[in-house]
Amino acid sequence: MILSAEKIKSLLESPPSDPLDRLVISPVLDVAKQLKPGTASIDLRLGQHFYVAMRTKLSELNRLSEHHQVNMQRYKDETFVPLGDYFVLHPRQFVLGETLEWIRLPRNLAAFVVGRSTWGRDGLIIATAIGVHPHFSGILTLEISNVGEIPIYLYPGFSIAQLFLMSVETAKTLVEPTPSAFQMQTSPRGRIVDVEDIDIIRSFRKLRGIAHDKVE
Amino acid sequence: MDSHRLVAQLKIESAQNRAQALIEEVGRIKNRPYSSPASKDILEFVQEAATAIRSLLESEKTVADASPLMPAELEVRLHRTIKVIPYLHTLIGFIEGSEIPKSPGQLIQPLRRYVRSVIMNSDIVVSSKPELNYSIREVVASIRKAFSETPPPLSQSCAKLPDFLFLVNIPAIESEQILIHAILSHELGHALYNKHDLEKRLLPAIKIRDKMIRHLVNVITTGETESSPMSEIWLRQYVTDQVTERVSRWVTELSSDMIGIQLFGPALYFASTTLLSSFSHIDRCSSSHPPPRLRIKLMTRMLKKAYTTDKWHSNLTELIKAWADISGETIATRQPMDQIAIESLDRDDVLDLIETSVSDAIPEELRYNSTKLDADVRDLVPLILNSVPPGELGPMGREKPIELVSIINAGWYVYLCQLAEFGARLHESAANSRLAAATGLHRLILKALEISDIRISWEEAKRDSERGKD
Repeated sequence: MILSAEKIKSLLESPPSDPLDRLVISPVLDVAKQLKPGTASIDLRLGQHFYVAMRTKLSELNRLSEHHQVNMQRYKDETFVPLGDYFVLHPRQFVLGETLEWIRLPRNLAAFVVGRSTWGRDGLIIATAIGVHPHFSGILTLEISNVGEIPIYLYPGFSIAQLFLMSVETAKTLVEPTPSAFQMQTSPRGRIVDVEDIDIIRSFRKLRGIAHDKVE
Repeated sequence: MDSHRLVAQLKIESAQNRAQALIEEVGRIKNRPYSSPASKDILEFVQEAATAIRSLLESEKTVADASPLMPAELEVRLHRTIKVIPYLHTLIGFIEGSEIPKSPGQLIQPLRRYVRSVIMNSDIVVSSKPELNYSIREVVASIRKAFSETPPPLSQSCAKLPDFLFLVNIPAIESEQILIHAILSHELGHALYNKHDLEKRLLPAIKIRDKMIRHLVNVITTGETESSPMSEIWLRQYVTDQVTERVSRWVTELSSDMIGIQLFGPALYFASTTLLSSFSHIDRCSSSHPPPRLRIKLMTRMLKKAYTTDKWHSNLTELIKAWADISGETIATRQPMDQIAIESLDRDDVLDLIETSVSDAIPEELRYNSTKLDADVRDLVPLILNSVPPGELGPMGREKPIELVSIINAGWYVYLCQLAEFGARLHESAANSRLAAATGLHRLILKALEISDIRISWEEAKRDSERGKD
C-alpha cells in the first residue's frame, strides 16, 4: 500500500521509539510544499554533488573488460555546486546528481523515486534506480539526462523528484538484511559494483566462439 | 641618458610586465569554481592592485626620464609602488588549491560560518596543498601595512578587504578526513592569541631560568683557553636570546592549544594526539614548536579539569590515562637551550597562567563544555550509529541545525568508542575493515555538516526573500 502524504508526515513527526522502525528524511526544508495534502509522495530536492562523465578520458564502458574498475574511476569527475550556484546540463549530456535529502527507510517500508513531470516537459529525464529497499540509508543517486534541445540550468535546492513510500509485508521472524553496496552513500560517487554473473556471461562468449573479440 | 635613469626605465618596464602577468593570470583563473567566496574577492583585489601598479608606473616613466630627482630619491619613489608586487603573487599562490574539487565544499561553508562567529568581520579562504600541514594565517594586517605606504590609488585597493582574512591550509590528500580538521581550532587559537594580544600578558609573567643559562655558559666556557669576559657576556646574551625566542613561540603554541580546547573541546585533543603521534617524535622540538609531550601534557591537564573524564566511555578513559602517563614523563631533548625553555614553561604556575589568560579571551557562548558534550553523546551518537548524519535535530518543521563543533565531537566519540558497531551497518566489504569504517564515518560527518549548513542557509535565504517581498 502506498502511503499518503499525511501518513508520511505523521511518521516523520512522531517517530516510533525503536530506531529500526524510524523513517528519516533530512532535511525537509518546507513541509507544506514537499508534503502536499491529498498527494501520495514527498517531493525531493536536487543536492549539491554532481558526477560528470569525462568523455575525453575514456573510449568506452565495457563491464566485461578487465580494466572496467579502473575505467570507472577515470570515468567521472566530481563537482560540488553550493546552494545558489548552478550546473548547466547541455543537450544529450548525462550527469549523476543526488537528492538533497538523506533517506533512511525502516524495515517495514520500501520506496520508489520518479522525476517530477514539470522537469520532464523541459526535456530533463531523471531516471533513477527507482526501487529503494527497507533499511536503506543514504542519499539517492539521480541519473539526470537532458534529452531536449536547449541547455538546462540545474540549481541545487530545486524540487526535482518524488519519493513514493510503500508498506512492506514482513514475515513473523524479522530478517536483518545484508547492507547493500550503496548503503550510506553520501554522494553520487557510490561504489563500483561488479555485475552479477559476469563470469557466466564471459563463459558464454568462450563457448560460442566469440571470445576472440577484443575486450580490453 | 645616464645609467640611473636607464636602469629606472628598465625597472619600470619590468615591473609593468609583472603587473600585466598578474592581470592575465587573474583573468585566466577567476572563473574557476572556488569553495570560499573570499577566493574571488582576493583575485579581484589582486587584479585591481595590479592594474593600479601598471598605470602608476606608466606615469612614473616621465618622472624617471625628466624629473630632477636624485637617483636615491627616484629609487625610493619607485620602490613605494613596486614593493607590493610579490605580495600579489603570494596571494595568487594561496588561491591555488581553493577550487571546489580540491577542497571539500561541504566543510567550507560551516567552517566559514564558525570562524565568523568567533571573529567578526572576518572571512576565510581554504586551500588544499599536498604537504601534511594545517595552518591558518591572517593576511589583511600585513597587506594593509604594505599598501599603506604606496601612493594612491594603490593605497586604496585594500578598502574592500574584510577586517581579517584567514588563509587556511588543509592537507589535500586527507581533505575528507573531517575529524582531524578539528586541528584548525588550534590554528584559530593563533588568530585569537594575536587579536587579544595575549603575548603582552603572558610573556612578562614567565621567568626564564637564568640559573640554567649561567650554568650552560659556564660549562661551555670552562676549558676554553682564550675565554674572555666579553665572549662570556656575548655567549650568555646569545643563549638568553635563543631561550627567550623559544619560550615566546612555544607559549604561542601552547596558548593556541588551550584556546582550541576551549573552542572545540575533546575533538581538538583527539585530533592533536592522533595527528602528532602519527608522524612526530614525542620529544623532538624546534625553535617554533615545543615537544608534543609538553603540548599533550597541558591539553590533558586542561581536559581533565574541564570535563569529568573519569566518567567517560572506558575507551576514552584509558586513552586519556595513557596520554597522562606518557606526558607526565620527563621530556628528554637534545639541545640544552630547548631544555631550559622546557624547564621555564613546564611548571604548574606557568601552565595555570596560560589557562586563565586564554579563558579570559574567549566569550562564554563560544566555549564547548561538559554539558554540551553530554548532550551530543546522548542525542547525536545514536543517529550516527543508525546511519543518519546528525545535521539537524527536533520535530519536523521545527528542526534546529547542529553546530559544527557538536557534530565533530560526536564523530570522534563514535570513532574512538563505537567504530566497530558503526562499521557493522556498512556493506560487507567495509564492515570488517577499521579503515573503511573510518572512511564511511568521515563521509557521514561531512554529510551532517552539509545538512546543517543547508538548513541554516535555507532559513537565511527564506528570510531574505520574505524581506524582499515586503
